[in-house]
Amino acid sequence: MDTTQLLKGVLDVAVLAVLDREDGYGYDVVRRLRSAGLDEVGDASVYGTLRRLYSAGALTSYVVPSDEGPHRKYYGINKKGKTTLAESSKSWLAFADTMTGLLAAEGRR
Amino acid sequence: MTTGTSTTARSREAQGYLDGVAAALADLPEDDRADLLDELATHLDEIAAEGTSPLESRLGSPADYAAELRASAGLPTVRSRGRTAADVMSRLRALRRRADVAAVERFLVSVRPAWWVARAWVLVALLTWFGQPHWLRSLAVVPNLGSTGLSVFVLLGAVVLSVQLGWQRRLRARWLVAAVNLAALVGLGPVLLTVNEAVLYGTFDYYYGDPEPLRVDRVPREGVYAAGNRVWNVYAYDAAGQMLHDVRLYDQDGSPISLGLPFDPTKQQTLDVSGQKVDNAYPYRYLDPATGEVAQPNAGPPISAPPLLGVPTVPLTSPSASASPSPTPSPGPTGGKR
Repeated sequence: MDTTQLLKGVLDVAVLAVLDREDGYGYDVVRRLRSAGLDEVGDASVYGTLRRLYSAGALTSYVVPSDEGPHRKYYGINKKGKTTLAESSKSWLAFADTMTGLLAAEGRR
Repeated sequence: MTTGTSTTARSREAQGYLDGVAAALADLPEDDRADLLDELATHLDEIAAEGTSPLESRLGSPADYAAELRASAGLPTVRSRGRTAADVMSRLRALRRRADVAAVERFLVSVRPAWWVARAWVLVALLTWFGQPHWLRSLAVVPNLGSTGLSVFVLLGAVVLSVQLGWQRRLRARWLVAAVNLAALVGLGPVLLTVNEAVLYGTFDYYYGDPEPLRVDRVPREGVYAAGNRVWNVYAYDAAGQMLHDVRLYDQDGSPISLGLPFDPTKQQTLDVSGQKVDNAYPYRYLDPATGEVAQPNAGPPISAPPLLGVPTVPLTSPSASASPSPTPSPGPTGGKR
């Protein structure tokens, strides 16, 4: 199955989870998602997701001047984002459990 | 913030990519778009700084990037037309960068004045065509507007206008030029075909052919005519110039010559010995309704016929060479064919 299709549904949770560990700027978030194993995550998708979560009030943002390059816009999770992450994590885990059980019952594991 | 040479070079690439994304997001509200692009600029700079391979190979085409961004950021869904138009425009721009395409474009630009002349001609031809009544429609190489002078004048005027319009760099009424070009482009084919047809076959003969010659076997006219006028009576005079009475006339086939007059109750009815009505005895005489007698038995035209030269006034036993070939000494009718 195409992983990019699966990613679409869970990218919000993934981004929130990454930022929950540590604040990050756009490309930093992309790299951390990729190093976590989500190789096919798209740059534009992450950037768009960050913007959407920020607009929805789930993230804070601040600009950090850089010596070597452009200013970096950092994103951090806020209270609303943490709540969203907790709810999403719960439903994702329940969903993953269901899928795991289903696939095991079908004898595919 | 330092701006080293390498950063500047990468920024230029990032800028080009950013322009592509910006074009694909052209339909967004301006403040949304500016905010998004401002942030994206620094983001792209970072990505550019990460590696040396071109941005397009790492991120996909700007249009695709914009589409992905749009979907994940929950931006207003693009009107399909905007997306398609931006897509087409970015593809066109890429096409124009190719050397062969650029050469074709340069050639087309160089022959543009020819098109300005052609479009003027096509438009004048179209207007002429639709100005004509449909059964008379035809097109010559110089569209005929009545007189040759007027036609040439209008055509030249249109060419001058069109060329001036062509040289105009900044134009407010761009849609007008677009409409003119479109009409001329659409009309070019039909006009060329019609003119070609007219040149090959002529303008009217081709449609109507030569008229069939009118053939009349018999003029269906009643009566006898002389010099275009109806003959109402016939008066015969003998060689001596005396008027004759009750002269019967026949044609070459022996048919009685009747004047075919409309019925007139006052006309004297002549009968032969067998009781047959005779209508070829001249002159016709008319009765006086009061008395029932012929009113004027000696009436005739206001002429005096002079005696004929060298014709005996008294019938002779020996035939005369110059007289009528018939041995019968009937008074010769002047127009007799036999």
